[in-house]
Amino acid sequence: MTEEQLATLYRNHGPAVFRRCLALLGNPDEAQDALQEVFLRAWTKSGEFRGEASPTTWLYRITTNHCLNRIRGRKRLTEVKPEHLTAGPSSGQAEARRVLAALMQRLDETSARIAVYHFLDNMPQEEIEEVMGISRRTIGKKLKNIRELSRRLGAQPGARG
Amino acid sequence: MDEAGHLSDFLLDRLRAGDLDGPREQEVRAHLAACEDCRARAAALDGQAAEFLAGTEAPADFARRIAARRSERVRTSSMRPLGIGLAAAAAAALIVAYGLMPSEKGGDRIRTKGSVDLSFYVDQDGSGRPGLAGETLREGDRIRLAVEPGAHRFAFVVSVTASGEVTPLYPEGNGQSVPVTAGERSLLEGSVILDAYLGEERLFALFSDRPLGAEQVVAAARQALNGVREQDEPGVQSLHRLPLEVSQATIWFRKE
Repeated sequence: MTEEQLATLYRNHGPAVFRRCLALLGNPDEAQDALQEVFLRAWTKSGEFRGEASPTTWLYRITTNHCLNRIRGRKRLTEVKPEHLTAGPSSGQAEARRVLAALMQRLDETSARIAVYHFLDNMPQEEIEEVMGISRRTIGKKLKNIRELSRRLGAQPGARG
Repeated sequence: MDEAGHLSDFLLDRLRAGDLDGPREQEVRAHLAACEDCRARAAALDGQAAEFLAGTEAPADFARRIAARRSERVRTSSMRPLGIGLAAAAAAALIVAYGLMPSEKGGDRIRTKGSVDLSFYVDQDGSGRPGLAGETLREGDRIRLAVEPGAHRFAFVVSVTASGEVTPLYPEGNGQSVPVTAGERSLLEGSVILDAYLGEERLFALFSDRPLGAEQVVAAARQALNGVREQDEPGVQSLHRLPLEVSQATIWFRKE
């Protein structure tokens, strides 16, 4: 990937990447830093992109992985609090962030990503399948477990199935 | 489309970026024409995007800054594309300098005479201690890799993480397998500084008689990862082989 191609990628996708970083991390400065890391990783891993159908899908995945790692990294310093997952673009996401904050430290890697796409991005299962590359059956099974866990934690997720 | 019958931000992002295929783009545009809520959401996202781009540095400046960070990182980590394994004598000297051979602890590195192997050393104050399979390392730790290619002449080392990251290490980026000396243990040039991605990480060394391409290796790693992630307890510990018909050695560690 050339510098010019990276600039084009940023122009087309930077706003969405930043929006998701901010929604996940809840802090504009950290979201800016994450934005740079996502594009740095995208450039470093541009060879990987050749097999992808959509740059949006690819960048969604890198963004989710990077932000979840940042959130998990906080665990060593402090518990994740709901405010770490605030400042999303729509008021309807407040509940999703609250649910995610409650679930984040208790889910395996795959389930945490499914939870982000489902609760924060409001993606239906076929779109989660597209982004993650795992079967709908697995997604459905894990979502069921996530819902059970969220009920035990007293965090009620949205109604989308 | 969600259960309420509205377009997700993911689809709207894809529409704005122009990466929906023809029929899907038509479907999304048809929905937008008929749905006031989705038109409003699309307009809001367009507005946010325009505001973001107007309020931040120009894309060309951003790309320039990322390019500078990238070259800085590559220099820092000494992960230059290799091109060669170490000459046998130099490798032997380095292994002496690095002390004992890495431990066999971990149970997944059973070796036989003439077999292939992958091991790592953790760099500490200019000398290396042998890394243990399954040991816990930290962000910023520097490791060096050693390979035994058996009778093979080419090696490719790739990293896979439980979070689904696939990263070619040797060679870095988009190259082909690096030449190594058959029958000789080689300490690979440069060291790898571990990044902030936490959790389990597994390294695979792929040994072949013809160079493998990065695309082929990354695709195989992704396929293997997808298989593991379908399991109830996904993790790279249980991933012992990539779906490639070449000799392989693997080792894993955990980052905390």
